Amino acid sequence: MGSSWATTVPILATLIVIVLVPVGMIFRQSLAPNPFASDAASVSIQNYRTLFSISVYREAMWRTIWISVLVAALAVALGFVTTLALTAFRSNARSRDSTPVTLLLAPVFAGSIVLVLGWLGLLAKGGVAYSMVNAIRALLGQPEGRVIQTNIAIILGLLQFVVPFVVLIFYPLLNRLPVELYEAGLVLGDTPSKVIRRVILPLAAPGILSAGIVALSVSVAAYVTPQVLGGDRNLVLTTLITQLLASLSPTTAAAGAVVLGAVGLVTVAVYSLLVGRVQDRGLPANAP
Amino acid sequence: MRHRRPKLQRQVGWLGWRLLSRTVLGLAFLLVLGPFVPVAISAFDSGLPGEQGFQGFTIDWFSIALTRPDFQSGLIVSVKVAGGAAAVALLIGVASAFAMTRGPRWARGATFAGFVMSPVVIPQFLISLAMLQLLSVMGVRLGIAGLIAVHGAFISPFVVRAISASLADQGGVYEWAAMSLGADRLKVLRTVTLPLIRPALGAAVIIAFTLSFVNVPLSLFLAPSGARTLPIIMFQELEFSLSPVLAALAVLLAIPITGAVLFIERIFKVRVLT
Repeated sequence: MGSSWATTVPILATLIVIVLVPVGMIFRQSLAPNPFASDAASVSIQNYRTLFSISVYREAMWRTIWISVLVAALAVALGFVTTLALTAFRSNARSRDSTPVTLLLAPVFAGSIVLVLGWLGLLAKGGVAYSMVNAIRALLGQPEGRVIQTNIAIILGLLQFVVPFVVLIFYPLLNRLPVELYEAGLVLGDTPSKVIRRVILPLAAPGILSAGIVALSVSVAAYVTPQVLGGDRNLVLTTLITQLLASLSPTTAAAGAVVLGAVGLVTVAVYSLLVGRVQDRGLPANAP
Repeated sequence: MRHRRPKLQRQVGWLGWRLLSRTVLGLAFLLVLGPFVPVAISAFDSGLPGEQGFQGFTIDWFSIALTRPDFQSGLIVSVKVAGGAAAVALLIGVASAFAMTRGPRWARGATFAGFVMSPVVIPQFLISLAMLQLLSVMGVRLGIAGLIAVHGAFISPFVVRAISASLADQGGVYEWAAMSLGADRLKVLRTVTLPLIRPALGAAVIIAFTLSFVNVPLSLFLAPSGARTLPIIMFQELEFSLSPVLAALAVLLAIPITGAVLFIERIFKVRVLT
């Protein structure tokens, strides 16, 4: 099978060279006792100790986790219902036009720079989103204040960036549903919640898993959005790492990078386990 | 058989669900497309950042954006990198898509697919940083070629998506037919398979070029200081307010990108999304 090698070697070789070797290297570097002893055989966990002992750093790690989980949860829910509205719950049964879905993908093709530029306009004092956020704050009895350089700005910016990825995953799965689904359900006497539980969710189940994984990893690794919209006062892991690099502590930055990879892996693993458990419990009973 | 009238309660239930999903759809469009509005407005607004409201119409920001030498050189670097990255991504992506649809059994399984698609979930920021550290320890300086390779590898999953959908649609029957008529493998590839997936290839080139063109995290640490890409130059100029020159540049860049992406499906008559 000569051709099987010709077709699979490019991706295997590329990933090993571009992913495994550098990541191994940065892991090794994170264990160096100081920035100038990278060739020494000595191993130390000093960098990790530094990372976990300073409260600003701990705060950055914690912010990465909770913002990513929140954004992923909101994005999966929003992306799922949106895709449903564009596929099975579409108003015009004849239209199979995918232009609205392509429009929803705009953030992916526009790139993060254009997106944060837009948020800077919306979130600045007098901007639309500024007024909306402060209206909600007023309802909650909180004082009016700036929105740029807050957690809310990071969350909004990330959500816009992540939702398209979720739609991209759900669309092919849900587009297989017949557009007459709701009419059929109506005539045959099914309630919408029953159709959603028995027909739509089983079809979307693999999408819920992969959309959550992509949403989590994109949010954990995001850099431009938290840097511009969160600023130095609301550090996440990626922006913390660039600060550590700028302050000439590359080994602590390396430890931060390893923690970044670990946070991504752990959140994805926990999420996969949770979804897997829910599916194991839920699917056989509901399967048609 | 008598046609049963749906109960009112059920009708209301369905109506409620459709209304809800329609509302959420509207919210999603607001969230996803809303931030483009201030960029488009401030590109034509003569007011400086910080001034509230529209101060007057101008196209001066466009002439500034078009004549700035750093934007011009950044554009050239970005076009080179994106062109090269699209070629690399196509090479890796098409090969992987072939393996996943026509290859040996193990390459058609979920494990290999997960491996091929893994760059989507591997943090680009982490890889960029790790590569930088590795290269500095090795004493190697990465030129544009290295940046192209890394971009290409991380964009390849999007090519795989487009090509493998197209290959799966054809299902291999035409290839079998050609082979049974005596064509050798190379001839089948050249005269049957490639013409069949040509629309998907066209779409994949546009997607790959665009994704590389706008990428920040991979170029962040890897772009040589003498050859910064346009998004990196824009990022370094970003302050905490909406700069009208950057907005004008964004509008200029958005026109070809929007055109290309919106019309992929029309021009190539290909399903990119499924």
